[in-house]
Amino acid sequence: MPTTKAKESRGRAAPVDGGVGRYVPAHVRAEDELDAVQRISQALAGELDLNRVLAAVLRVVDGVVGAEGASVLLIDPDTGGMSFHVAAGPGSDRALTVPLPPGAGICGHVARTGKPLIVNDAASDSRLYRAVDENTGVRTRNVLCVPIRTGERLWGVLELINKTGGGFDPDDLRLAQVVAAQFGLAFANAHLHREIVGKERMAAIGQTVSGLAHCIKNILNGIRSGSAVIDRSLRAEDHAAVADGWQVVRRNNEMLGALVLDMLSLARDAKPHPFPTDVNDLAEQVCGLMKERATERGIEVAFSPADGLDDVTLDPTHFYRSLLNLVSNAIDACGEGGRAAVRVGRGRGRVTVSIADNGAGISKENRRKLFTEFFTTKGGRGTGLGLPVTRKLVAEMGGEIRFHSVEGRGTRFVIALPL
Amino acid sequence: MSDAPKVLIADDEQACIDFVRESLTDLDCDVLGAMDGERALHVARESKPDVIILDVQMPKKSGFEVFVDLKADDALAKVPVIMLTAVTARIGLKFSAKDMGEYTGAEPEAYIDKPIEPIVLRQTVKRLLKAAASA
Repeated sequence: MPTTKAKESRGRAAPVDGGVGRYVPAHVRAEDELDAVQRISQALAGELDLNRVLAAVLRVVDGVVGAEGASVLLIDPDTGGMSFHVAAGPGSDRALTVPLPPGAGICGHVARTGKPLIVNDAASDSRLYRAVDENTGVRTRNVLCVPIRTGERLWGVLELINKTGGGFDPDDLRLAQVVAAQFGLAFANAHLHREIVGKERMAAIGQTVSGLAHCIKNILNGIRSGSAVIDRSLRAEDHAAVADGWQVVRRNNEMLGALVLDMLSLARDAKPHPFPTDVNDLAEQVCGLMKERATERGIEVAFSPADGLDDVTLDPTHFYRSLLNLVSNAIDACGEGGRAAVRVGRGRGRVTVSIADNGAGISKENRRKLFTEFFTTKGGRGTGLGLPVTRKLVAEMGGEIRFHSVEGRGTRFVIALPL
Repeated sequence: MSDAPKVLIADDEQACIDFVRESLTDLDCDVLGAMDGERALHVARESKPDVIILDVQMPKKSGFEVFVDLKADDALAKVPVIMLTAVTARIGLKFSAKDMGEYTGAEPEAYIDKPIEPIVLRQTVKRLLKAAASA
């Protein structure tokens, strides 16, 4: 805070940093004000904890003006009354507990008329709401009160009390109005932010629920039709057909399990549990697991391990699920007689796994949507969660995922993880 | 040495014990089951397993409490432990993994999420057996 200069004009006592009775020349006061307002602007613009900033600002204003206390009262839209929202100065804690009935007090008057007010002899003013003083133990001698408003909306009032060494003057009023305008903007901004966040959250929830419902509906259809085949075939004692029906039910059960796992992976904060893992072996096992599905469709799955790769410390479950998703996608992308190739590599402090297929490739518009939840090109058979989940798991392992695709030729995904 | 390695699985669901036994078939080890925490400690003291797999939620003693007791027992403190964690462990359970480390001065060698992926379980047990054998 700037220091005072003795023996200069104006004859107005305005304490700085709690001092009493020092003279502050006009230009120093103006600088103080500008400095304060600038700091207030910046603080309000950046800060998400509005109340903390308001309290700090009030203390600044007290300092510049030389008031003992300052507070912000907000209107309760339900009752029309007001209550202390933030307060600084002696007794401020107790003030926070005293509500003002509608229209009560000098604050209520200002809220009603929408016009600022200075009352330099508050003790004898009938409008003063004495319950506050009784609670705080502070005797209110003088009051400056300005409305906090943005456009049509009145949020509440800014109130300063007990200026040291005299009464409130037009300079104080001017500063209070500037600060009140800032507060108004801050409240309007916070209000808007809350509305937007609320809307976004509702939209996201809606989207997730409908995406989920869609997947589950498809799975249920599969289970019903498979069950119908089983029922019919049991009655007809056709065991081969029972086996077919069971395949359908089993496949849909697996999809349901995968869907639940994927939703859990996406939803919760899955802290990875790193463990020294034989990446070559784990990757080879994933390929082995997928070979059965691949061979059914005449698709080859080729695997090549990395040379000289020691155990890598990473979360084996995360790695396993990521790889499973990508290999499964690769196989689904291949047509009859296609080929999926999984290769583990190492270099530059990283272990990489590349999963390539010679399928149809990814179209330009699909590329943008690739990692979007519930986006799938597999119709009813895809949940659309595989890639978003994989991306999340890879990120949690501290790695990256990239892809390269040529339409009509094929696609390659590469996961790179730190060694 | 041809004593098959012993793996103890403590879980209050028989289905899970069977599942673990099934998953570890290829490893040619002896899988012992216990369905509550006290039984788990009893089996551990009697059979001296090479790897211990603990579910968190069990009657009589939770997986965490069993872990603490294992570490306090000189004969069993060095046996590697795999902790099975379910979603609840991350959301609401009293002890977090971090608490455990602070509480006992030791942490389980590995954590595996439920539902268990057989391949991951196999890999983890295999590695722990290998590490113990070469120690």
